[in-house]
Formats: sequence, structure tokens, C-alpha cells
Amino acid sequence: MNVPAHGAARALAPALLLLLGVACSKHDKADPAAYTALANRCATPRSGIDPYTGARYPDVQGTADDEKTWLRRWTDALYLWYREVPASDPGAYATPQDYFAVLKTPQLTTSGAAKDRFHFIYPTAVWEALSQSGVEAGYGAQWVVLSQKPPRSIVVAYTEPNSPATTASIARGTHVLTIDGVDVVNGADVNTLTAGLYPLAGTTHTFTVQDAGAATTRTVTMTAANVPAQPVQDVGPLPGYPAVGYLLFNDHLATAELALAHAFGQLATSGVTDVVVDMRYNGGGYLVVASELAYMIAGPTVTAGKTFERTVFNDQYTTADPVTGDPLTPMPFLDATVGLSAAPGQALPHLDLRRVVVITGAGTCSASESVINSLRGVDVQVILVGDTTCGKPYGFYPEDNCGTTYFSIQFQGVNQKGFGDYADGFVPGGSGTAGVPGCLVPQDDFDHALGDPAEVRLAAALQYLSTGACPGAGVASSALSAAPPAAAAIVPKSIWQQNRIYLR
Amino acid sequence: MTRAPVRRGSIAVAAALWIACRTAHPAPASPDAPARIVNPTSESRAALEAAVREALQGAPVTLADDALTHESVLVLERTPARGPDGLPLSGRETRPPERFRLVKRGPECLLVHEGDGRLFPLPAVECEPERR
Repeated sequence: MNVPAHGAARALAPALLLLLGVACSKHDKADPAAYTALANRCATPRSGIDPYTGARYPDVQGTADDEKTWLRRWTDALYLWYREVPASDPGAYATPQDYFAVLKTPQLTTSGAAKDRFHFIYPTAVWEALSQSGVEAGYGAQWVVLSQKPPRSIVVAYTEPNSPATTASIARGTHVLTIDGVDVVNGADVNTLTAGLYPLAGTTHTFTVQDAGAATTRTVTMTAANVPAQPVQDVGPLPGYPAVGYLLFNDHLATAELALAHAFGQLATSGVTDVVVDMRYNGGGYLVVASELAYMIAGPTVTAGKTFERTVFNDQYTTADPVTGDPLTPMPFLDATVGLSAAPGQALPHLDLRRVVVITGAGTCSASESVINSLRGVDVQVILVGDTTCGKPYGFYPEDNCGTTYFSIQFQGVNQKGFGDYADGFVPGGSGTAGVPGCLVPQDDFDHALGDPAEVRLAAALQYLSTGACPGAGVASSALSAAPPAAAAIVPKSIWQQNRIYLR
Repeated sequence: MTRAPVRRGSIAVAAALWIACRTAHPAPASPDAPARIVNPTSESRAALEAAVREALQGAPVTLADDALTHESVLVLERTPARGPDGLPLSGRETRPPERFRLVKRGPECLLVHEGDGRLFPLPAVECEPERR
């Protein structure tokens, strides 16, 4: 484990240098005419200046049929599984958005799940909105909605430091029982529940809560604010385990770049020989942050000249990115900061680990899964402890047309070995190509703090590191019996209030 | 004055571009000192938000109440959007964030938009050089 001093020039990986001429020059896109001819021909064109580009909206008067035809052509050109999209009559669908819903593969994965679970639309004006990195309106308490329908169950997964929640002594495991007088468990006033859970900044709401392990309830009143998230928390050797480092990594935000560099610098000087990266609630974000994290875990020896992730589009585009026109050059393991939040070109610390434990859950998704896959691609032993990950080796370039932004899977990420087939998620302790050594621990233990060696998933990780075996049922039974079911243990971190809380 | 749209970047090239262009073309040396806001008020917060919006062609932004009070760099990224399953719609983000710096030039507090180098005076803001 070492932290050599690197200059900025040293920090530029050779693979990146090769890309410079490419990146700083213009390229022709791969014949986009087939799907751009009808772009921006709208049934209801927008007018004026687009605040996100500074240019006039490109919309011109068209028809809903124009929008549907554009969708079909765009799908035929760029959708990863374009050959599997059934023929359908656009006239049978009332709106372009309705038509888009069927422009995807109907096939299933080997588990029986839909092959494409990531087919979305979003209002462009909302999608393009900007926030200070990690800032969201709320209390700084990250809820887990274990059951959206009655009998509902809502518990706190973690909190942000110096937030309204921590001021009110809200902590992991706190159960929410009422919001502004409405019963969370069975109440019918879902609008009040939603307004309290996902508030506007400056609004005040009153909660009845029951803290983890408490026999009684208490009432707290919190005023929502624009709270900045700290994406990396609880960094350091574990209490009682000085050789095992831990960090809770919740979001691949821009601010995580600097926070992760600090965290690994701290771990590098602390003498740890194993690290547990807790990404159970990390749904992804900046892919460059994932690459930097993987590098800091593995170090230069095993990553130099290797692929962190290679992007694969459909078979019509094998040499160039069809959207940007850039060559399909693999992303390397980044050994220096790119300047998201840290100064650019700063050499990253590295631990040179040959094994790492990642704590996972159903919310471990996308860029977080890329960390796992990339390390396995260069033969770093990844040990997973927790629940099966979400299964999203895919990505897209969201596309605005007429005020709606469409999300249609366009590429798959694969590692150094060309592997990217984990659509059903990585399975801790599982078999098959997406099975990963470790322990399947579906229960999320809300009775213990994250980073507490007694927390069920972390305890299993520690035992696995020590003995190579997972805990028996009896070891974890007390905590498991107290834990709510984990099927819905995904933290819905931001506001997308539609369908968040259900009446029945 | 218009802002060049930065809508998308290919995955690998974006990483190279961020490093190369920022490392190869560092900001010119200047007497400006990196600064942070002190004694923030509702007026200073509004002034900061207005400057950021002006830099971004009027786009609405969400800032923390303590923005630029702890450090001199302000990073903006797309407000996280999630689907009904609670997972991010785009978990592989490639578009670079918008970055601003607060500097103190003489008695003035200036907000620098790193994307195009424009300066925005903040007369309603009190700032002091950032301690290193």
C-alpha cells in the first residue's frame, strides 16, 4: 500500500494521452440523418430561449405523427436491441409518449424479468434542472420506503451530517409513524404523506417517530432546507478491526471525487490491509468517479493499460459512438482526478488491494456495478456481501424531442474481459457468470448504524474476511428477525413524487 | 452572450477531455485569491443565485444555504432524477458539471464561471480569502 507523489503529467495515463487529439478535434457523427430528419417537429412547439443551451428552442410546427415517426427512427437507429422491437401501429397510441412505451424489447432475462427495465420519459425542463452537487430539498434523512402500500413501512436508512434530521436526533432505524397527523401505516391522505416526506425547502412538518430500539415514540418538527449530501461517510479502520478499513459511499456525485480521494488518502496512511466499501444505497452517477474509485482500490500495477469499461452499441455502430461521433475507445482506470470537484490532474492515492469487499443491495446500481465489474475484469477479487444488485450494465444518451426527454437503452458497458452480462444483477455468493464470491444477506439491518461491526451485512463481511465462510443462520438471527424485509430497501433519494406513496 | 451547449460527451473521450483541456490550458496567473463567503445573509444568497442563473442563461438552480461558505468552488450538476423504483434514471452520467469559483480581487468578491471565464461581481456578498 503506498501513495507515491505524482505530477500532473505523470497522472495522465498513456491511454488518455492517445485520446487528446481525438477529444480536441471535431468528428462527423455516424450518419444521424436517418433519425434527425423529423427531430423537433412538434405538435406543440416550444418558443423562446432554452435556458439550458442559451439558444432558441429548435422546435417547429409539426404533428404528433411526426413525433411518433421520429421515435421509431431514433429507436431503429440507436436502441441496443433494435432488432427485437415489435412492429406496431403508431396510430393505435394516443400520444408519442404512449407509443414510446412499446418501442422496446419484449424479451425476458434468464430470471424471467423484463430484459429492458429502464425505458423512461421525463419532462425535459425537469430533467435539465441543475443543483449544487448533492443538494436536495429535505431534512437530510434518507428514507427507505419498505412498503408503499398499506400497511406501509418507512424507515431512515442514513442521515446527512449537520442536517435538520440530525438536529432532531433522527438516525438510521428511526421509523416514521405519522406525518402532520396522518397515519403512515394505513392513512388515506397520501398527499399529506408525500408532502411531508419529500418537502419543499422552507416548509415545516411534524412527525411521530420511533427510534431504533426505543419502546416509546416521540414527536419531532423539522423545517426542510436545501441540504448538501456528503457522499462519502464513516471513513476509517473499523472499531476493533484496525486492519479493516470501511467507507460508506452513497452517490457518485461530482463532490465524491474529492471526498473519495481524501478517504483513500486517509485509509492509505492508516495501515489497513482490507477495505469494505459500502455501496448498498449507491445507485450510480458519474462514471469517471467509479473509474477513479476502482483505481484507488486496485492501484497502478494491475490497472495500467487496462480497460475500466468499454462501451458497446448496437451492431450498426462498431467503431464510433453514434451520438457524438467519437471513436469507441475504452475508458481506462483513471489514476488522476478529472476535475469534477478536486483540482484536475491530481494523482490519486491507491491501496493496491488484491481483494475488496463491497456491501451491496437492490439499490446498488449502474456506475456502482461498474466498479465491481471493472475490478473483476483485472482479477481483483471482489467479495460481495448483501443483496443482489440492481442489474444495469446499460446506459443511454437521454434525448429531448418537443419537451419530452426519452431514455432508451443504447449501450452496454463491458470490462477488460469483455463481460457485461449481469442484467439480473450480481449475486453475492451466487453461481453462474454473475455470481460473485461472498455472502447473500438480503436483510438490511436497521437496528445498527452503518459502519457498526455488529450490523448484519458488515458482520458477515468481517466473518468472511476472517474465515472465508458466511455466517450461519444462528449468528445473525437476532438482527435478522428484527429487520424489515429488504425487498424494497432502495433509497428514493430525490423528488419524483408521482406514484411514490400509494393509497392501496 | 450565449453559452455553448454541453449536452453530452462520449464516455472515454469525456474523461480525457476534462483532464487534457484543463491541465493543458490552466487558468492564467492572476492576483485573485480563492475566497469563501462570510456572514451570509438572505440578500447575499439571492445575489449568488442570481449570478449563477445569469451565467447559465437564466436556468433555475438549487443552491444550499451555505454555498461557498466552506470552500471557494461551487459545483452544479443535473438535479438527480429517479424513476418510480427509486433508482437514478441515468446511473452513468457523462456530462461534465458546471463549475464556479469565488475569488477576492481587492475589496471585490467575484464569481468566476469556469466554463467560459466570465466574471460576475457580487457586491452584496462579503468574502474573505480561503484558508489553505
